[in-house]
Amino acid sequence: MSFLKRIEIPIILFAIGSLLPLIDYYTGNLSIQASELLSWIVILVTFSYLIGVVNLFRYHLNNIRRGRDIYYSILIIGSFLFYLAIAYLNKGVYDWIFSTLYTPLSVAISSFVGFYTYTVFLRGARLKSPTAVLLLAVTIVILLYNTPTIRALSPQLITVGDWIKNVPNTGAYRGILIGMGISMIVLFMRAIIGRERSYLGGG
Amino acid sequence: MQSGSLPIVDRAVFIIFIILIAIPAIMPLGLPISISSNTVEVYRQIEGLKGGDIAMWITDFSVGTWGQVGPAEVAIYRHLFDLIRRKGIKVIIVTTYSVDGALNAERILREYIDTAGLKYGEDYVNLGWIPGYETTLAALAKDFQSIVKTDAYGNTIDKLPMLRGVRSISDIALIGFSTSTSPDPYPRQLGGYNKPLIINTLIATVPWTLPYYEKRLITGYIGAESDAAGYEKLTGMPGEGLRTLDAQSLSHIYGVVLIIVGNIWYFTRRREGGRR
Repeated sequence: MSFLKRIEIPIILFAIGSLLPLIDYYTGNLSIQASELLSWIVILVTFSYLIGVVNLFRYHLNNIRRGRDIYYSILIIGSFLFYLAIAYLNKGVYDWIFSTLYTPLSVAISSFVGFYTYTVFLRGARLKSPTAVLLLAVTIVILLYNTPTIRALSPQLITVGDWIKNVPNTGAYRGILIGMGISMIVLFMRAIIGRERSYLGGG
Repeated sequence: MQSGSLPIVDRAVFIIFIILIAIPAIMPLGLPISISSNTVEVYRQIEGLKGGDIAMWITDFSVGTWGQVGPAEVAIYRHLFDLIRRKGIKVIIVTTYSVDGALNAERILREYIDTAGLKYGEDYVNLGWIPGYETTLAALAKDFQSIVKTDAYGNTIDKLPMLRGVRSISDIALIGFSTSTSPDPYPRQLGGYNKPLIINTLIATVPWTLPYYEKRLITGYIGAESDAAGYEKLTGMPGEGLRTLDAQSLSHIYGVVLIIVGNIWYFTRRREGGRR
Protein backbone atom coordinates (compact mmCIF):
# COMPACT_ATOMS: atom_id res chain seq x y z
CA MET A 1 0.00 0.00 0.00
CA SER A 2 2.81 2.42 0.81
CA PHE A 3 4.29 1.79 -2.65
CA LEU A 4 1.06 3.05 -4.28
CA LYS A 5 1.21 6.22 -2.24
CA ARG A 6 4.61 7.17 -3.55
CA ILE A 7 4.67 10.52 -5.34
CA GLU A 8 6.71 9.13 -8.25
CA ILE A 9 3.81 7.02 -9.54
CA PRO A 10 1.48 9.87 -10.56
CA ILE A 11 4.47 11.78 -11.95
CA ILE A 12 5.41 8.78 -14.12
CA LEU A 13 1.79 8.40 -15.23
CA PHE A 14 1.70 12.10 -16.11
CA ALA A 15 4.95 11.83 -18.05
CA ILE A 16 3.83 8.80 -20.04
CA GLY A 17 0.42 10.33 -20.73
CA SER A 18 1.98 13.57 -21.92
CA LEU A 19 4.86 12.15 -23.93
CA LEU A 20 2.82 9.60 -25.92
CA PRO A 21 0.82 12.16 -27.91
CA LEU A 22 3.92 14.34 -28.27
CA ILE A 23 6.00 11.50 -29.72
CA ASP A 24 3.11 10.61 -32.02
CA TYR A 25 2.73 14.22 -33.16
CA TYR A 26 6.41 14.80 -33.96
CA THR A 27 7.48 11.37 -35.19
CA GLY A 28 4.32 9.53 -36.22
CA ASN A 29 5.36 6.59 -34.04
CA LEU A 30 3.18 5.15 -31.24
CA SER A 31 0.11 6.40 -33.12
CA ILE A 32 -2.11 3.51 -32.02
CA GLN A 33 -1.11 3.90 -28.39
CA ALA A 34 -1.72 7.66 -28.49
CA SER A 35 -5.21 7.16 -29.99
CA GLU A 36 -6.03 4.59 -27.33
CA LEU A 37 -4.88 6.99 -24.63
CA LEU A 38 -7.15 9.74 -26.00
CA SER A 39 -10.11 7.35 -25.81
CA TRP A 40 -9.27 6.51 -22.20
CA ILE A 41 -9.14 10.22 -21.32
CA VAL A 42 -12.59 10.84 -22.82
CA ILE A 43 -13.97 8.04 -20.64
CA LEU A 44 -12.22 9.41 -17.55
CA VAL A 45 -13.63 12.89 -18.20
CA THR A 46 -17.11 11.40 -18.44
CA PHE A 47 -16.66 9.79 -15.03
CA SER A 48 -15.37 13.04 -13.59
CA TYR A 49 -18.83 14.50 -14.12
CA LEU A 50 -20.16 11.76 -11.89
CA ILE A 51 -17.77 12.94 -9.19
CA GLY A 52 -19.21 16.43 -9.66
CA VAL A 53 -22.73 15.12 -9.09
CA VAL A 54 -21.65 13.26 -5.96
CA ASN A 55 -20.03 16.42 -4.62
CA LEU A 56 -23.12 18.46 -5.40
CA PHE A 57 -25.28 16.06 -3.40
CA ARG A 58 -22.78 15.81 -0.57
CA TYR A 59 -22.56 19.58 -0.17
CA HIS A 60 -26.25 20.30 -0.32
CA LEU A 61 -27.35 17.34 1.80
CA ASN A 62 -24.85 18.57 4.37
CA ASN A 63 -26.45 22.02 4.20
CA ILE A 64 -29.88 20.50 4.74
CA ARG A 65 -28.64 18.48 7.69
CA ARG A 66 -27.12 21.56 9.29
CA GLY A 67 -30.08 23.80 8.45
CA ARG A 68 -27.89 26.18 6.44
CA ASP A 69 -29.51 27.71 3.30
CA ILE A 70 -31.87 24.78 3.56
CA TYR A 71 -34.45 25.99 1.04
CA TYR A 72 -31.88 26.69 -1.70
CA SER A 73 -30.31 23.29 -1.19
CA ILE A 74 -33.69 21.54 -1.35
CA LEU A 75 -34.49 23.49 -4.51
CA ILE A 76 -31.21 22.53 -6.15
CA ILE A 77 -31.45 18.84 -5.32
CA GLY A 78 -35.14 18.75 -6.16
CA SER A 79 -34.75 20.45 -9.53
CA PHE A 80 -31.76 18.24 -10.38
CA LEU A 81 -33.72 15.05 -9.69
CA PHE A 82 -36.82 16.36 -11.42
CA TYR A 83 -34.97 17.34 -14.60
CA LEU A 84 -33.08 14.02 -14.59
CA ALA A 85 -36.34 12.08 -14.32
CA ILE A 86 -38.08 14.18 -16.97
CA ALA A 87 -35.25 13.52 -19.44
CA TYR A 88 -36.20 9.85 -19.41
CA LEU A 89 -39.95 10.09 -18.80
CA ASN A 90 -41.07 12.91 -21.11
CA LYS A 91 -38.67 14.33 -23.67
CA GLY A 92 -41.21 16.95 -24.77
CA VAL A 93 -41.37 18.51 -21.30
CA TYR A 94 -37.59 18.29 -21.02
CA ASP A 95 -37.17 20.22 -24.29
CA TRP A 96 -39.85 22.72 -23.26
CA ILE A 97 -38.12 23.45 -19.94
CA PHE A 98 -34.83 23.98 -21.75
CA SER A 99 -36.24 26.24 -24.49
CA THR A 100 -38.79 28.19 -22.48
CA LEU A 101 -37.28 28.39 -18.99
CA TYR A 102 -33.61 27.58 -18.86
CA THR A 103 -32.44 29.44 -21.98
CA PRO A 104 -34.23 32.74 -21.28
CA LEU A 105 -33.17 32.67 -17.62
CA SER A 106 -29.53 31.99 -18.56
CA VAL A 107 -29.57 34.77 -21.14
CA ALA A 108 -31.17 37.15 -18.62
CA ILE A 109 -28.44 36.46 -16.05
CA SER A 110 -25.74 37.05 -18.67
CA SER A 111 -27.52 40.26 -19.69
CA PHE A 112 -27.10 41.81 -16.22
CA VAL A 113 -23.58 42.70 -17.28
CA GLY A 114 -24.99 45.02 -19.92
CA PHE A 115 -26.77 47.20 -17.38
CA TYR A 116 -23.69 47.71 -15.24
CA THR A 117 -21.59 48.41 -18.32
CA TYR A 118 -23.77 51.42 -19.04
CA THR A 119 -23.38 52.83 -15.53
CA VAL A 120 -19.63 52.39 -15.94
CA PHE A 121 -19.84 54.38 -19.18
CA LEU A 122 -21.67 57.18 -17.38
CA ARG A 123 -19.75 57.24 -14.10
CA GLY A 124 -16.40 55.62 -14.74
CA ALA A 125 -15.31 56.70 -18.22
CA ARG A 126 -13.51 59.93 -17.31
CA LEU A 127 -10.98 61.89 -19.33
CA LYS A 128 -8.56 62.26 -16.44
CA SER A 129 -5.27 61.60 -18.21
CA PRO A 130 -3.83 61.31 -21.74
CA THR A 131 -4.04 57.51 -21.45
CA ALA A 132 -7.69 57.76 -20.50
CA VAL A 133 -8.34 60.04 -23.47
CA LEU A 134 -6.74 57.47 -25.80
CA LEU A 135 -8.65 54.61 -24.18
CA LEU A 136 -11.99 56.39 -24.44
CA ALA A 137 -11.35 57.51 -28.01
CA VAL A 138 -10.63 53.92 -29.02
CA THR A 139 -13.65 52.71 -27.03
CA ILE A 140 -15.93 55.10 -28.88
CA VAL A 141 -14.45 54.17 -32.27
CA ILE A 142 -14.82 50.45 -31.60
CA LEU A 143 -18.36 50.85 -30.22
CA LEU A 144 -19.37 52.68 -33.37
CA TYR A 145 -17.37 50.25 -35.55
CA ASN A 146 -19.44 47.41 -34.12
CA THR A 147 -22.67 49.28 -34.81
CA PRO A 148 -23.91 48.02 -38.19
CA THR A 149 -25.90 51.18 -38.91
CA ILE A 150 -22.94 53.50 -38.33
CA ARG A 151 -20.70 51.23 -40.40
CA ALA A 152 -23.16 51.44 -43.26
CA LEU A 153 -23.20 55.24 -43.06
CA SER A 154 -19.47 55.81 -42.56
CA PRO A 155 -16.98 53.71 -44.58
CA GLN A 156 -14.07 55.70 -43.09
CA LEU A 157 -14.96 54.28 -39.71
CA ILE A 158 -14.47 50.78 -41.11
CA THR A 159 -10.92 51.67 -42.18
CA VAL A 160 -10.03 53.06 -38.74
CA GLY A 161 -11.75 50.21 -36.90
CA ASP A 162 -10.04 47.59 -39.06
CA TRP A 163 -6.65 49.16 -38.32
CA ILE A 164 -7.28 49.16 -34.56
CA LYS A 165 -8.47 45.56 -34.74
CA ASN A 166 -5.71 44.22 -36.99
CA VAL A 167 -2.65 46.14 -35.77
CA PRO A 168 -2.48 47.12 -32.08
CA ASN A 169 -5.13 44.68 -30.92
CA THR A 170 -3.83 41.65 -32.79
CA GLY A 171 -0.25 42.52 -31.84
CA ALA A 172 -1.14 42.66 -28.16
CA TYR A 173 -3.02 39.37 -28.24
CA ARG A 174 -0.24 37.76 -30.21
CA GLY A 175 2.18 38.71 -27.44
CA ILE A 176 -0.18 37.30 -24.80
CA LEU A 177 -0.58 34.03 -26.71
CA ILE A 178 3.18 33.64 -27.20
CA GLY A 179 3.72 34.28 -23.50
CA MET A 180 1.04 31.74 -22.63
CA GLY A 181 2.60 29.20 -24.97
CA ILE A 182 6.07 29.62 -23.47
CA SER A 183 4.64 29.40 -19.95
CA MET A 184 2.85 26.19 -20.86
CA ILE A 185 6.07 24.65 -22.18
CA VAL A 186 7.97 25.61 -19.03
CA LEU A 187 5.19 24.30 -16.80
CA PHE A 188 5.08 21.09 -18.78
CA MET A 189 8.85 20.56 -18.53
CA ARG A 190 8.72 21.17 -14.77
CA ALA A 191 5.83 18.74 -14.37
CA ILE A 192 7.56 16.05 -16.46
CA ILE A 193 10.69 16.12 -14.29
CA GLY A 194 8.63 16.26 -11.11
CA ARG A 195 9.50 19.81 -10.02
CA GLU A 196 5.92 21.07 -10.46
CA ARG A 197 3.56 19.22 -8.15
CA SER A 198 0.60 21.57 -7.81
CA TYR A 199 -1.56 19.21 -9.89
CA LEU A 200 -0.91 16.53 -7.25
CA GLY A 201 -2.57 18.61 -4.59
CA GLY A 202 0.64 20.31 -3.51
CA GLY A 203 2.28 17.02 -2.48
CA MET B 1 -29.07 57.46 0.73
CA GLN B 2 -31.06 54.38 1.63
CA SER B 3 -28.96 51.23 1.68
CA GLY B 4 -29.81 48.85 -1.16
CA SER B 5 -31.67 51.40 -3.32
CA LEU B 6 -30.32 52.41 -6.69
CA PRO B 7 -29.41 56.08 -7.22
CA ILE B 8 -31.90 57.93 -9.41
CA VAL B 9 -29.30 58.48 -12.15
CA ASP B 10 -28.59 54.76 -12.45
CA ARG B 11 -32.29 54.02 -12.55
CA ALA B 12 -32.70 56.53 -15.37
CA VAL B 13 -29.80 54.91 -17.26
CA PHE B 14 -31.39 51.47 -16.98
CA ILE B 15 -34.90 52.66 -17.87
CA ILE B 16 -33.71 54.52 -20.96
CA PHE B 17 -31.72 51.44 -21.98
CA ILE B 18 -34.78 49.23 -21.63
CA ILE B 19 -36.90 51.67 -23.63
CA LEU B 20 -34.30 51.88 -26.39
CA ILE B 21 -34.11 48.13 -26.86
CA ALA B 22 -37.88 47.71 -26.53
CA ILE B 23 -38.73 50.22 -29.26
CA PRO B 24 -37.36 48.12 -32.17
CA ALA B 25 -39.13 45.04 -30.79
CA ILE B 26 -42.46 46.85 -31.01
CA MET B 27 -41.77 48.95 -34.08
CA PRO B 28 -38.87 47.72 -36.29
CA LEU B 29 -36.86 50.70 -37.47
CA GLY B 30 -35.23 49.08 -40.50
CA LEU B 31 -31.88 50.77 -39.91
CA PRO B 32 -29.29 50.22 -42.65
CA ILE B 33 -26.82 47.39 -42.23
CA SER B 34 -23.36 46.79 -43.63
CA ILE B 35 -21.98 43.29 -44.03
CA SER B 36 -18.43 42.88 -42.75
CA SER B 37 -15.72 41.34 -44.91
CA ASN B 38 -15.17 38.51 -42.42
CA THR B 39 -18.83 37.53 -42.69
CA VAL B 40 -18.58 37.41 -46.47
CA GLU B 41 -15.45 35.28 -46.16
CA VAL B 42 -17.21 32.75 -43.92
CA TYR B 43 -20.19 32.66 -46.25
CA ARG B 44 -17.97 31.98 -49.26
CA GLN B 45 -16.10 29.17 -47.51
CA ILE B 46 -19.30 27.40 -46.55
CA GLU B 47 -20.99 28.09 -49.90
CA GLY B 48 -17.89 26.70 -51.63
CA LEU B 49 -18.56 23.18 -50.33
CA LYS B 50 -19.15 20.66 -53.09
CA GLY B 51 -21.46 17.67 -53.37
CA GLY B 52 -20.34 14.81 -51.13
CA ASP B 53 -18.20 17.05 -48.92
CA ILE B 54 -18.54 16.51 -45.20
CA ALA B 55 -18.78 19.57 -42.96
CA MET B 56 -18.28 19.15 -39.21
CA TRP B 57 -19.80 21.79 -36.98
CA ILE B 58 -18.84 21.80 -33.29
CA THR B 59 -21.50 23.58 -31.23
CA ASP B 60 -19.75 24.48 -27.98
CA PHE B 61 -21.34 27.74 -26.88
CA SER B 62 -23.10 28.04 -23.53
CA VAL B 63 -26.80 28.64 -23.11
CA GLY B 64 -26.30 32.04 -21.46
CA THR B 65 -24.66 33.42 -24.61
CA TRP B 66 -27.52 32.38 -26.88
CA GLY B 67 -28.32 36.03 -27.51
CA GLN B 68 -24.88 36.70 -28.95
CA VAL B 69 -23.85 33.44 -30.59
CA GLY B 70 -27.23 31.80 -31.20
CA PRO B 71 -28.45 33.89 -34.16
CA ALA B 72 -25.28 33.25 -36.17
CA GLU B 73 -25.32 29.59 -35.20
CA VAL B 74 -28.90 29.25 -36.46
CA ALA B 75 -27.98 31.08 -39.67
CA ILE B 76 -25.03 28.77 -40.27
CA TYR B 77 -27.05 25.65 -39.53
CA ARG B 78 -29.69 26.84 -41.99
CA HIS B 79 -27.05 27.47 -44.61
CA LEU B 80 -25.49 24.03 -44.10
CA PHE B 81 -28.85 22.28 -44.30
CA ASP B 82 -29.74 24.31 -47.37
CA LEU B 83 -26.50 23.07 -48.94
CA ILE B 84 -27.49 19.48 -48.10
CA ARG B 85 -30.52 20.01 -50.30
CA ARG B 86 -28.86 22.06 -53.04
CA LYS B 87 -25.49 20.38 -53.36
CA GLY B 88 -25.70 17.13 -51.43
CA ILE B 89 -23.11 17.91 -48.76
CA LYS B 90 -23.18 16.04 -45.48
CA VAL B 91 -23.13 17.57 -42.02
CA ILE B 92 -21.80 16.24 -38.71
CA ILE B 93 -22.86 18.09 -35.57
CA VAL B 94 -20.96 17.45 -32.36
CA THR B 95 -20.29 19.05 -28.98
CA THR B 96 -17.07 18.71 -27.00
CA TYR B 97 -17.07 21.35 -24.25
CA SER B 98 -20.17 20.99 -22.12
CA VAL B 99 -23.69 19.67 -22.35
CA ASP B 100 -24.93 23.20 -23.10
CA GLY B 101 -23.65 22.89 -26.64
CA ALA B 102 -25.48 19.62 -27.22
CA LEU B 103 -28.70 21.10 -25.86
CA ASN B 104 -28.28 24.17 -28.07
CA ALA B 105 -27.65 21.99 -31.11
CA GLU B 106 -30.74 19.90 -30.41
CA ARG B 107 -32.81 23.03 -29.91
CA ILE B 108 -31.66 24.50 -33.24
CA LEU B 109 -32.41 21.24 -35.06
CA ARG B 110 -35.79 21.00 -33.38
CA GLU B 111 -37.01 24.60 -33.67
CA TYR B 112 -35.18 26.23 -36.55
CA ILE B 113 -34.28 23.60 -39.16
CA ASP B 114 -36.65 21.94 -41.58
CA THR B 115 -35.35 18.41 -42.03
CA ALA B 116 -38.25 17.19 -44.14
CA GLY B 117 -36.98 15.10 -46.99
CA LEU B 118 -33.53 14.69 -45.45
CA LYS B 119 -32.30 11.32 -44.22
CA TYR B 120 -30.75 11.19 -40.80
CA GLY B 121 -27.58 9.15 -40.89
CA GLU B 122 -27.10 9.73 -44.62
CA ASP B 123 -27.38 13.52 -44.95
CA TYR B 124 -26.64 14.66 -41.43
CA VAL B 125 -25.84 13.24 -38.06
CA ASN B 126 -25.87 14.61 -34.53
CA LEU B 127 -23.18 13.00 -32.41
CA GLY B 128 -24.25 14.83 -29.26
CA TRP B 129 -21.83 15.63 -26.47
CA ILE B 130 -18.52 13.76 -26.40
CA PRO B 131 -16.95 14.97 -23.13
CA GLY B 132 -13.29 15.82 -23.09
CA TYR B 133 -13.06 19.20 -24.79
CA GLU B 134 -9.52 19.45 -26.17
CA THR B 135 -8.92 15.71 -25.83
CA THR B 136 -12.05 15.07 -27.85
CA LEU B 137 -10.93 17.57 -30.49
CA ALA B 138 -7.56 15.82 -30.73
CA ALA B 139 -9.24 12.44 -31.03
CA LEU B 140 -11.74 13.68 -33.65
CA ALA B 141 -8.86 14.99 -35.74
CA LYS B 142 -6.62 12.00 -35.35
CA ASP B 143 -8.79 8.91 -35.10
CA PHE B 144 -12.48 9.75 -35.46
CA GLN B 145 -13.84 6.27 -34.99
CA SER B 146 -11.92 5.62 -31.77
CA ILE B 147 -14.25 7.91 -29.83
CA VAL B 148 -17.33 8.10 -32.00
CA LYS B 149 -19.15 4.87 -31.21
CA THR B 150 -22.75 6.12 -31.19
CA ASP B 151 -24.62 9.29 -32.03
CA ALA B 152 -26.70 11.47 -29.68
CA TYR B 153 -29.64 9.06 -29.95
CA GLY B 154 -27.78 5.81 -29.30
CA ASN B 155 -27.45 4.67 -32.93
CA THR B 156 -24.20 2.84 -33.56
CA ILE B 157 -21.92 3.90 -36.39
CA ASP B 158 -22.86 0.99 -38.63
CA LYS B 159 -26.39 2.46 -38.73
CA LEU B 160 -25.00 5.83 -39.85
CA PRO B 161 -23.80 5.32 -43.44
CA MET B 162 -22.26 8.77 -43.81
CA LEU B 163 -19.79 8.08 -40.98
CA ARG B 164 -18.44 4.80 -42.27
CA GLY B 165 -15.70 6.37 -44.34
CA VAL B 166 -14.76 9.08 -41.82
CA ARG B 167 -11.46 8.09 -40.20
CA SER B 168 -9.85 11.43 -39.40
CA ILE B 169 -9.93 15.10 -40.16
CA SER B 170 -8.58 14.46 -43.64
CA ASP B 171 -12.04 13.11 -44.54
CA ILE B 172 -13.72 16.37 -43.45
CA ALA B 173 -13.90 19.22 -45.96
CA LEU B 174 -14.72 22.05 -43.54
CA ILE B 175 -14.71 22.41 -39.78
CA GLY B 176 -16.52 25.08 -37.85
CA PHE B 177 -17.10 25.70 -34.19
CA SER B 178 -18.98 28.02 -31.90
CA THR B 179 -17.62 28.94 -28.51
CA SER B 180 -18.31 31.34 -25.64
CA THR B 181 -14.90 30.84 -24.08
CA SER B 182 -11.35 30.55 -25.32
CA PRO B 183 -10.84 29.75 -29.00
CA ASP B 184 -7.33 28.36 -28.29
CA PRO B 185 -8.02 24.58 -28.23
CA TYR B 186 -9.63 24.52 -31.67
CA PRO B 187 -6.81 25.88 -33.84
CA ARG B 188 -4.38 24.01 -31.55
CA GLN B 189 -5.93 20.65 -32.34
CA LEU B 190 -7.65 21.26 -35.67
CA GLY B 191 -5.64 24.06 -37.22
CA GLY B 192 -2.63 22.30 -38.65
CA TYR B 193 -4.41 20.16 -41.23
CA ASN B 194 -4.90 22.69 -44.02
CA LYS B 195 -8.68 22.61 -43.71
CA PRO B 196 -11.01 25.61 -43.48
CA LEU B 197 -11.63 26.31 -39.79
CA ILE B 198 -14.41 28.77 -39.00
CA ILE B 199 -15.36 30.22 -35.62
CA ASN B 200 -18.65 31.69 -34.44
CA THR B 201 -18.08 33.48 -31.17
CA LEU B 202 -18.77 36.42 -28.87
CA ILE B 203 -17.66 39.83 -30.03
CA ALA B 204 -15.38 39.98 -26.98
CA THR B 205 -13.58 36.82 -28.16
CA VAL B 206 -12.91 38.12 -31.69
CA PRO B 207 -9.66 39.93 -30.71
CA TRP B 208 -8.43 36.67 -29.17
CA THR B 209 -9.16 34.93 -32.48
CA LEU B 210 -7.31 37.40 -34.69
CA PRO B 211 -3.72 36.12 -34.17
CA TYR B 212 -4.89 32.69 -35.35
CA TYR B 213 -6.82 34.28 -38.21
CA GLU B 214 -3.72 36.22 -39.24
CA LYS B 215 -1.77 32.98 -39.51
CA ARG B 216 -4.68 31.22 -41.23
CA LEU B 217 -5.03 28.63 -38.48
CA ILE B 218 -8.55 30.01 -38.28
CA THR B 219 -9.77 30.84 -41.77
CA GLY B 220 -12.94 32.77 -40.93
CA TYR B 221 -14.76 34.26 -38.00
CA ILE B 222 -18.20 35.54 -37.09
CA GLY B 223 -18.51 37.75 -34.01
CA ALA B 224 -21.86 38.43 -32.42
CA GLU B 225 -25.15 39.75 -33.70
CA SER B 226 -24.05 42.21 -36.36
CA ASP B 227 -22.21 39.51 -38.26
CA ALA B 228 -25.16 37.17 -37.71
CA ALA B 229 -27.47 39.72 -39.33
CA GLY B 230 -25.06 40.10 -42.24
CA TYR B 231 -24.91 36.32 -42.64
CA GLU B 232 -28.70 36.07 -42.66
CA LYS B 233 -28.80 38.73 -45.35
CA LEU B 234 -26.24 36.84 -47.46
CA THR B 235 -28.11 33.55 -47.17
CA GLY B 236 -31.49 35.20 -47.72
CA MET B 237 -32.88 33.56 -44.59
CA PRO B 238 -33.76 36.33 -42.09
CA GLY B 239 -33.82 35.45 -38.42
CA GLU B 240 -33.06 36.74 -34.94
CA GLY B 241 -29.91 38.51 -36.06
CA LEU B 242 -31.73 40.92 -38.37
CA ARG B 243 -34.62 41.26 -35.93
CA THR B 244 -32.37 42.37 -33.05
CA LEU B 245 -30.05 44.52 -35.13
CA ASP B 246 -31.95 47.74 -34.57
CA ALA B 247 -31.80 47.22 -30.80
CA GLN B 248 -28.08 46.52 -30.98
CA SER B 249 -27.42 49.65 -33.02
CA LEU B 250 -29.41 51.82 -30.61
CA SER B 251 -27.71 50.33 -27.56
CA HIS B 252 -24.22 50.97 -28.98
CA ILE B 253 -25.09 54.57 -29.83
CA TYR B 254 -26.53 54.93 -26.33
CA GLY B 255 -23.22 53.74 -24.88
CA VAL B 256 -21.32 56.41 -26.80
CA VAL B 257 -23.81 59.08 -25.71
CA LEU B 258 -23.37 58.03 -22.06
CA ILE B 259 -19.60 58.34 -22.29
CA ILE B 260 -19.92 61.86 -23.75
CA VAL B 261 -22.66 62.95 -21.33
CA GLY B 262 -20.76 61.50 -18.37
CA ASN B 263 -17.66 63.49 -19.22
CA ILE B 264 -19.63 66.72 -19.81
CA TRP B 265 -21.26 66.18 -16.40
CA TYR B 266 -17.88 65.51 -14.78
CA PHE B 267 -16.14 68.57 -16.23
CA THR B 268 -19.12 70.83 -15.48
CA ARG B 269 -19.12 69.78 -11.82
CA ARG B 270 -15.35 70.16 -11.61
CA ARG B 271 -15.51 73.67 -13.00
CA GLU B 272 -18.27 74.60 -10.54
CA GLY B 273 -16.13 73.20 -7.70
CA GLY B 274 -18.70 70.53 -6.98
CA ARG B 275 -18.18 67.69 -4.54
CA ARG B 276 -15.57 65.12 -5.56
